Order: sequence, then C-alpha cells, then structure tokens
Amino acid sequence: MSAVNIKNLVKSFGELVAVNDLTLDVREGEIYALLGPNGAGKTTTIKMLMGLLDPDSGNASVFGINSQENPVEVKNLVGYVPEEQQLYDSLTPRELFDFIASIRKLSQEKITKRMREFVKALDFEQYYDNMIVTLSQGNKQKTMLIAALLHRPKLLILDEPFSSLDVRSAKIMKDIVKIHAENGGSVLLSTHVMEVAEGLCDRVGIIDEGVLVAEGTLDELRTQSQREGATLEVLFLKLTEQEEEVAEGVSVLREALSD
Amino acid sequence: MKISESWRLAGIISGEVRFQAFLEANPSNLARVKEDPAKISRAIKSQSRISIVMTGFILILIAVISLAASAFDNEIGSPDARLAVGFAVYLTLSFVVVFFLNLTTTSGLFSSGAMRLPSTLPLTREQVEQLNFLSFVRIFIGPVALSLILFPVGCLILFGPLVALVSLIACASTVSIAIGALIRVAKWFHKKTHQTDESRISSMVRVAASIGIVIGMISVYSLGSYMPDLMRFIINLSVDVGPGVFTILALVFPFSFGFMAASAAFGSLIPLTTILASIAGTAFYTVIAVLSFRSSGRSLRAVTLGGISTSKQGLLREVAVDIVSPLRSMVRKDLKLATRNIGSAFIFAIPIFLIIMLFPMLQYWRGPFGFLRSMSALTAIEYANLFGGISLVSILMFDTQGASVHEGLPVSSKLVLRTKTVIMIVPYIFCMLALDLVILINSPISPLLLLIPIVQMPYGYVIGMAVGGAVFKIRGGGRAVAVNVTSDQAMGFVSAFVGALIGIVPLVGYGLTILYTGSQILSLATQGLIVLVMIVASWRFIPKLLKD
Ligand SMILES: Nc1ncnc2c1ncn2[C@@H]1O[C@H](COP(=O)(O)OP(=O)(O)OP(=O)(O)O)[C@@H](O)[C@H]1O
Ligand SMILES: [Mg+2]
Repeated sequence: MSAVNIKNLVKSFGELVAVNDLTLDVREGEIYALLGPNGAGKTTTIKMLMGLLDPDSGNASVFGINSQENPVEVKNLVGYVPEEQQLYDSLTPRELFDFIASIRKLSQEKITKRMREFVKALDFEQYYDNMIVTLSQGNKQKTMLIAALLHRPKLLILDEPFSSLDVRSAKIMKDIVKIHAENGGSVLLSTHVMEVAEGLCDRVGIIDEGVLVAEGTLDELRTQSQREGATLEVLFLKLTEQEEEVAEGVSVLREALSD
Repeated sequence: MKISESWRLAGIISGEVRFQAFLEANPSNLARVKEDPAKISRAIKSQSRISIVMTGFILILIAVISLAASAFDNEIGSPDARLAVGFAVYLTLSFVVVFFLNLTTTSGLFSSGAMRLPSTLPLTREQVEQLNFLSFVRIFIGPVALSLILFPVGCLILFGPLVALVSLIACASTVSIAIGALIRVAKWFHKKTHQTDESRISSMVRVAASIGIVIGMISVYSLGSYMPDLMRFIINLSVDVGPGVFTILALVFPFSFGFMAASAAFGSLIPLTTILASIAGTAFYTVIAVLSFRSSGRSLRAVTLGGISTSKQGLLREVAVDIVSPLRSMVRKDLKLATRNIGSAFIFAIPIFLIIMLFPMLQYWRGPFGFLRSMSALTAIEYANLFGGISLVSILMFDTQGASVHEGLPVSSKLVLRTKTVIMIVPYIFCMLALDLVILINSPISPLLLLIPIVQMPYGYVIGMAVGGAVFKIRGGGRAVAVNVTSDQAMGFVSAFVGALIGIVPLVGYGLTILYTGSQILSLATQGLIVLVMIVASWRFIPKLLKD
C-alpha cells in the first residue's frame, strides 16, 4: 500500500483551477518532494490530503484512508507542519505540547523522554517556558516540527519546513527526516530549496499551474528533459518553462541596477 | 528637535500605541487586522473618540454632582462638612476614572513595544526620552486636562480663589498619584497575565485581576447615582461616632485635601486639630505626588528602553509533558488563553453584566404588585439564555489564534463543540445563581420561584450545543470553526438568537403549565422534564449535524 495516494484531484477557486487532475503516489519509506513555482497548487494539494479542503472531484487518501471521509483518522497517522504558522501566541511551548500530546492520548513517560531528546537536539530548552509570541520565526518552526513528530507518525507532511531554520537546526531536521525514512516512515514535503530536494529526496514531483509536469528520481528527470548532468534548478526551470523568463528578468534588472 | 515637532511625533506614536492596545485587548483583532486594516484603524479612531467623550462626560458628571451637593444640598450636613467630604469624594472618583479607563491602554502600551519606536529613530537619548514622555502625556491628556480644569473652575465660582487653589493642588496630586499607580498596576498586570508558571495562585490572580477590572469599569459607569448617598453616609458617620472622626479622616488621602479646602472656606467652623491634621496630610500627599511623578518618569524610561521581562530568568524548569484527557486538555488550554488578556476574560464577567442590567428591571416589574411573579423570573432567565448564546460564540473566538495547530490535530468537531459547551456552562450556572440572588432580594411571590433558575442550570448544555452547532453549520459547513465576533457580527446575532430561541423552550413549558393549572410544582416538573428531554436530544442529534 502506498503512503499517499492522490487520484485525479481537482480543485478550483472560482475561475482559477488551482489543482488540475493531479495524480501521484508516495510510497512507503520514501521521501517525496513537491516542487513548483509560487501559486502552483502545492499547498492546496496538501490541504486536500489533510482533509482541510474538500476537492471538487478526485480522491486523496493516506494509507488507504480517504481524507475527505475520515480526516480525523488521517490526522492520527500524519504529522503535519503547515505553511503558515498561526500558533497560540499566548501559550508556551510547554503548554502547547501538553495540549497536543493529551489530544493524541500519548503515554506520559514515553513522551516526556522523547521530548527531552528533541529539546536537547534542537537546543530548545531555554524557550520551553516562554510565550510563543516572543519566539523567533525559526523557533516557532521548531515548535511546529516537534509538535508534528511527537506521536511518531507513519507519514510526515511538511509544507516548506526548513525556510527559517538556522544552519544547525536545518541540518538536524534534515537528518531527522532521513532517520524517519530509514525507520520505514514516509515523507511528503513541498519546498523551494533545490538543494533540499536534491540531497534529501528519493523522488520529486514538479507541478505548475496545478498540473504535474514531471515526476521521478533526479536521473529520470534528466533523461526526460534530455539534459545530462543538469542540476535540479536547471531542470526545474526547463520543465516549468521559465528559462527564458528568468533570462529576460535578469537582463532587465541588470539595466535597472547599473544606473 | 523643536518641541512642536516632538509633540507632532508624539501624536503619531500615541496613535500607534492605541492601535496596539486595541489589538492586545483581544487576540482575535490580530486576525482581523489582516483582513481589513483600514476598517480597524477607523474602529480605533472612533473608539478612542468615544472613550474621550465618555471620560469627559463622567468627569463632568461627578464634578457637577459633588460641587452641587457641597454647595447647595443642605439636607446632607453642615456646609463645611459637605465641602470637605464632597471634595474628597470627587478626588476619589476621579482617581478611579483616570485609573480604570486607562488601564487597558496602558497595559497595551507595555506589551506593544510601540513606545520603543522612537529609539529606532536617529535621535539622541534626551530627545527619545522627551518624545516618550510626550507620547505618554498625549495618551492621557484628555482626562488629565479635564480633571485639572473642571473642578478648580467650579470651586472658583462657588467658593472663591483660595479653595480653587487648594483644589488645583489636590487635583494635580490625585492625577499624579493615579498615573503612578496606573503605570505600576499595568506593569504588574501585564507581567501576571503574560507570566506562564503553572501555579494555581498565578492563574487565580489573573482571573481575579480581570474580573476586578470589569467590576471597576462597571462601577465607574454607574457612579453618578450613588454619590450624594456616599457623602451622606460619611457625614453621618461623624454624627454617630463623634467629631474626632473628621480629624482622623483629615489625615487620610484624599480627605486631607477636602478638609484643607473646607478650612480655607469655613475656617471658623472647624476645630483646630482638624485643620492642623489637614495641613499635615496635604503637605504629605503633595510630596508623595511629586515623588510619584518623578518615579513614573523613571519607570516609563525603563519600560521604553528595556521592556518588561515576563519570562523568569535563571532557573530552567524541567522539560516534561503533562497528559490529561482530550476534553480536559482542551478546556485547560482555553482557560489559559482566556485569562491571558482582559478582552477574553470578559466572558467570566457576563453574570455581573447580567445582574447590573436586570436589577433595575426586576425592581420595576415588582413595582405594581409589591412582589415578584414567576413571569418576571422567566423573563430574567430568558435574558440569561441570550447572554449564554453570546458567551458561547465568544469562546469560539479563542481558537482564531491557533489555526495551524488545529489543522494537524485529530480532533473531531464533536469534541470541539463539547469542550466549548463545557466552558460556557460555567458562566451560565453563575448567571442562574446570581438571578436567584436578585429574585430573593426582590420578594418573590413564592420561594418556589427560586427553583426555576436551579432547574434551568443543566440546560446550559443544550444552549451551548445548539448555538455552537448552528455556528459550525453556517460558517464551517458543519466543520468546527473559530469565529471572530468582532468582525463577524452576524454570528453574534445568530448566537444570541439561537440561545434565546432554544433557551425559551422549558420556560414556555413552565409558563403554559402555570397558566392552565396554577400550580408551581407542576410547572417546575414540566420545565424539568423538558430540560431532560432536550439534553438527551441534543446529546444524540446535534453531533450528527457536524462534519470533520
Ligand atoms: N482559499 C483560496 N481562495 C482563492 N484562491 C486560492 C485559495 N487558496 C489558494 N488559492 C489560489 O490557488 C493557487 C494555488 O495556491 P497554493 O497555495 O496551493 O500554491 P503553492 O504552490 O503552495 O504556492 P507557494 O509556493 O507560494 O506556497 C494560487 O493561485 C492561490 O492564489
Ligand atoms: Mg504553498
């Protein structure tokens, strides 16, 4: 059984078709990166997968459980870090973790032990009792990541997870993602950072304007676009047909900046 | 920088401070400001205009009433005693007004960091301090100026220049002490509400402080009516206990100023010891006021340069996770959110609001008969039902903050609804208890009337479930949603309406039974039966309307 199964998924907002007949699979034990320009439909896809948005048509499921019909069960299996971080500003991480662990009915001793390990690894101890509103962006992101990992989810869904982390924490988080996959867990993440996708992920799916334009391992993508040894960045721009636009934009900017 | 320039900049900063304070007063405003910043700015402008007008109105009211009572109301007591006590009562009340009407703004001032804005500008340290001070002055200028002008001018007209001079000193001292207290309490309050240790005491302090403030505000708004009574009470005290009371009072703030003024106007009528005591007291409190003025400046400076540290330094607490049942953990979280800002804590003051509103109404209804009939009790409960609907939708507001957390959590809409209902039942039960109290003092026609609110108590569950279910259905298509009543007023109305509509059912049962049988016992039984049936029905059926 695949960890994620998305089939012919469609979602429009008025005139705009944000996700257009999308079909993809994330296999068990795999790290899958969803790439695409701003507004491509990555977040919309993930939200439907989490059961937070109803699709117009098509299906999304996690380990065979339909996201639309049984979102609570899906959320039981998944650790999710959304793109926007609206945390409870006036709670502390301690209070937030107490809340989340209680909702997930975790065992007190085990979770305390795990929490100590996380806090130590991410250098988070001194923020544990500070109100979330006072935390820096990166520390908020750490809070969300810890919250998503607390219950040892079988599947991690991360929407732009490493954008504000410092070097040390980003490295640790990437390692955590890797270890998670080595232990048989699966990961679906969306990212703009090509190095993350290149270094971390088993397979990549590129979507543009709601359509999956390419999918596969890096090597498969290279063959597909007939560019040997190309970096993911070059492939990405080619596949999303942005190469010329980038060249044009740069030359305009060069003029503007040289005055 | 010229002072006019500073004054203009201070205006911009004080505007920003008001804006931040408005946001701080209610967490949901944060979400709202993203939706429509222009609308929020307008709301704040009109709100601050309203608050200036209100403060002005209240100050004029108490100045006029106390001056009129001192000068003309011969029933209250001798003119010297009237002047002394009227003076002191005015000072006390103006202290309360300056203090309470500005407490939210001031604590917003400390949390917003808006006062730090000047230090980011290319200015010298002196200029920054000047700017900060002026900003603070601009925030409070309205009430302060009014208080300094109104009463002394009144005294000048009624009692002559000497009393006017004393009153000017007295008002200035009172304002200075009030602002000093204000800064201190706002700092303390900010610290307490943002402090996060888990001790019971500190959450008790938070709740108590919030409710205390609400009561303070309410009493400010209902001042006018009981001022002459207050004066009469104090003057009678000296008649009953003996004239020595005045000498002792003359040592106490703010009576010292009052007796000083009375000595200036009617020196021959007042015993020498009292005059001496008032001189000593006046001198003492004036010195205190000057010191308070200085230290306010210092503590403002400290706030602007360092901020208030709310996190405990030094000792790190052990990292641990505390597990309770899902329902309890949701309630625990909501209560924490509720007590961390004044706006949300208003929910717990709803019973008080209700009583203040209903008390005069019940007295009026009692009027023609001389006792309270069951119809009046039923009507009063119906008001509580409506308030119950509003309190539920206010509780839904807490979650506007934590959207990202909720998106990933396996929480069914049913559980969310049950949690919010559990929280809402608490103020509902307090409303019923408070109603019983009001019914009791208004001589009910039969003691059985007291049982109507008691039988109604568990019905809070039905009202909560129905109102929450309706809101989820309308705004979330059946999914649990957070609603922001300040921007989504339609939902406020819907909630009040559903609360009233569902809440009236057992009351109608009672009413019809009493019309047909005249028996209170039977009516109570009908009401109780309906309550039971509705509880079972809403337990079974309302969750079916929801969706995850
Ligand atoms: N609630 C909504 N109402 C209307 N349009 C929406 C809504 N949510 C998303 N969209 C639109 O759908 C499109 C896809 O948005 P989505 O957030 O999925 O993009 P994304 O790939 O995650 O982009 P980014 O990389 O910037 O996060 C965008 O054009 C966006 O404007
Ligand atoms: Mg996105």
